[in-house]
Amino acid sequence: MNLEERRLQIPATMDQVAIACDFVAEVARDAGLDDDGVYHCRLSVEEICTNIIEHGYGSNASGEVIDIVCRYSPQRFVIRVFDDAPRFNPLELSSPDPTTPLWERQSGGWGVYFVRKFMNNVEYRYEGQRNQLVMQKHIS
Amino acid sequence: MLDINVAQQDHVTLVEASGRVNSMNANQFGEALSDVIDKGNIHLVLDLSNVDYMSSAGLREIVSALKKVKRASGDLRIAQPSERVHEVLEMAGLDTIFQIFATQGDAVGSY
Repeated sequence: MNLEERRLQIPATMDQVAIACDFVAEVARDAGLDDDGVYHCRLSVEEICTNIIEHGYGSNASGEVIDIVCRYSPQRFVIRVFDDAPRFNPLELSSPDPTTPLWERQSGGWGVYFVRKFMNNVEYRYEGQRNQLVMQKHIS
Repeated sequence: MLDINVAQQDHVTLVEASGRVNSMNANQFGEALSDVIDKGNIHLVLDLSNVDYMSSAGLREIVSALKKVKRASGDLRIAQPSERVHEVLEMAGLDTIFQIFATQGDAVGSY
């Protein structure tokens, strides 16, 4: 099967996240995803890149990068996000509970929660000393 | 791109946001809300009809603002959230925490 593949590398800084989001949205549109699908991919990439910058690299982000690889077939759109922060699987975090009352709410965890909800499949891998989050979206 | 407009309607402060609320500008959004609250405005209506994108960073700011006004015995009520914003509010269970109104008039009139 022929797979289209497009790549982007951004410096691991917050002002670059919009570029990553725009890139993924453009490729998702080219892949044939509808408006909802494009929106879900955009939001998911924002959440993951933000987590990498704020929690993965943290104060050590200077000079670091995030690589984004989008690959698609007629059936599915796959986004892989790579970083060189210390090994960390965000999918092992416990999901926040939407029924939590206001005063008991913690601010963290919702980004990955949305990614899990918006994408059809999400996997974490650690290969070549790089964190890799693989997100798949079905193309209807 | 995010625009925020603040207006006073009797004793209610109306905050109209338009554009995208994302990780890059959520601080700006949160600061605008804090600024309004710090001036003593605790009966807020946040109109999100023209916000077509809100990530978890934006939700964090509105939850933080809600806690702040509640501590002062006020409230932050949401008016006519767009479909996309309503979806994330619902997914995060915030549709049961915020009072959400179908129109700006209903939200302002609820105080």
